Amino acid sequence: MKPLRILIVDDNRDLSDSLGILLEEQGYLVTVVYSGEEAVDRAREEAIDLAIIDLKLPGINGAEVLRAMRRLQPGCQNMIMTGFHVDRLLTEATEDGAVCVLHKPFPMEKLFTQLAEIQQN
Amino acid sequence: MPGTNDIEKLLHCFFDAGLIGMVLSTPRKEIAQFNDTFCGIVGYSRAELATMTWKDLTHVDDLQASTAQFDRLMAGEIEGFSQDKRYIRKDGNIVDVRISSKCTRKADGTVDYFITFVEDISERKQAEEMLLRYEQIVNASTDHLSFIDSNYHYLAVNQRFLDVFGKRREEVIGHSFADVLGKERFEKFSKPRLDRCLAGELIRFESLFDYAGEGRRWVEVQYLPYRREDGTVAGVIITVHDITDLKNTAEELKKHRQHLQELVAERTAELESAQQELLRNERLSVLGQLTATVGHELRNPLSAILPAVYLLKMHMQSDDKRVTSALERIERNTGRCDKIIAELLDFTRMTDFALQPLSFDAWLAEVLDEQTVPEGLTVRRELNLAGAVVRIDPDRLRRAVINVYDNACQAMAREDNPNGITPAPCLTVSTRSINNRIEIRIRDNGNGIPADVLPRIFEPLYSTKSFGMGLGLPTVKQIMTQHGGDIEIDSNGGHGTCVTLWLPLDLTEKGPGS
Repeated sequence: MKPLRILIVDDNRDLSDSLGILLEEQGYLVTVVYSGEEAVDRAREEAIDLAIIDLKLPGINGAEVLRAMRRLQPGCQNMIMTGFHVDRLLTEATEDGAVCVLHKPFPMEKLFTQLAEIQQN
Repeated sequence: MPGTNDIEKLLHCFFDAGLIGMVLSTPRKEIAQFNDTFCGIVGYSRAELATMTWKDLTHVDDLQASTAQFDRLMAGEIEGFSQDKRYIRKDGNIVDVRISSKCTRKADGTVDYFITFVEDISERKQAEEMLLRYEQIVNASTDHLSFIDSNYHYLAVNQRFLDVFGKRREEVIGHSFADVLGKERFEKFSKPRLDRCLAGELIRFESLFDYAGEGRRWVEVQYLPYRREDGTVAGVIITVHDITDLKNTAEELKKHRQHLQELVAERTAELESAQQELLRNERLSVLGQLTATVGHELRNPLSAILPAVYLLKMHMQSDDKRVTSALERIERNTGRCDKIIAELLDFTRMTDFALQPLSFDAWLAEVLDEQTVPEGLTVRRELNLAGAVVRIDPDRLRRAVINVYDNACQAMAREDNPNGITPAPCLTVSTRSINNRIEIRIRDNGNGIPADVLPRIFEPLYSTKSFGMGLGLPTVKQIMTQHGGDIEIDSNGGHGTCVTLWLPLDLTEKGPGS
């Protein structure tokens, strides 16, 4: 089975870098970016199967990144990470087709379960 | 005896004395002789009167009656008559007169002359009319009025007086107060006051009075001394005025005023409390925004800890218990930090309250299904709302239920049971509709809440737990009051606790079982 190509978008480098290493060790092809602008640039250049996007980003926010992903990479699945439980951006993102929401802080096991499900499909 | 000439002279004296108008007239109604007094009464000169007849002087409305009497005299039916009638004076004014006529007859019985005395009675007529007017005014009064003399005898009363006491005028006038209104009433009640009035004092008092057919009424009575010109008191003018309506109106007004004052006080209190609530809400709103920002910001660094720890765990592969415990502690305390943030966010969340109709028991069962049941604990469900649909904010109410549920689990998990006997931990969650409420009751058989803790249990930041901010129950209370309901706690130290979360029944869209 071809490994999933994953794009991680979070301006908290401690989180995005740790996640990047962890997922690489799990055998995924990972690209880590720290802003919405970088994420959109990457989406223009390379194919992505799954984007894990933080909702609150400086500049282009997570909901806007999600919409850009859907336009540029129609086959890409999108996950949202957020510290907010109720939020306008979260509602937007959910309506725009986010496959799941990871409420920060989330245990790694939960992320792996979600990834396994996506890999299956 | 005076001679014939003397008598003639004397008669002329009579005629000219002017005590009364005198006229000698003919059967043809011509005015033959008259004195100056008569001229004065009708306002015509001697020369003018010489050419006039009775008919010219008499008021047209009195003509018929006058002529009738004249005709009877002429016919010999009567010898004389007296009559009140009106003359038209030369200046056009009417003058009231009383005439007294007699005729002298010839030997064959036909009338020779008429002798007539004419008295000007205008002043008396005016006085009579004035009196009549006053009588009508007095009778028109709805007060009953009377006048008694210094011997307590009625000299005058108005119509209303007679109506009120159901008497005829002749039964009252000339009779004593005691005869008309009763001896006892007079002696005990009225006489002392009448005597004071007769001594010159104006008396006023209020009294209850039984009116024939109108029942008991409040009246204001006034005794006014009636003074003669020399100032001595000759009687008492009594006026009795019905003030029942006035009194009732005053009572009503008083009641309204009191009610108004109460209302104002009530509204003021409401306003003050609303203002305080506003201030509180504003403070909470600022606090809420601050907390929300800090909370969410904290969740970011917290979320970076977990993958880092996970990586460490993977790579250390250490069997050293100290290392694995340390990593677990990091994870556990990251979780605790997150819980504190959640508790804070829950308490300060003011907005996003939205009701939606849900099948209540089914919803509650789902919430309970999500909860982990600690080992050894039995959870019983007694959901009795039979399909009732209730409008709730499911997310908020879920927080409330979970909060109370967790508290109950913790109460039973404690090992320091003061009774020394640990019953099998059992938690019962029940629902019912009772007394206009929808109730969720969560009952445990744990240690109960100590009596000294119970009164402070809803104080924010009051906690007896090692890890807890003391915002749990205050948040539950807040959620319940947002729904228009409340939380009630019944705890019997050492014998468990029953927490009731209730909602007003009017949130029900579809009744139980319907």
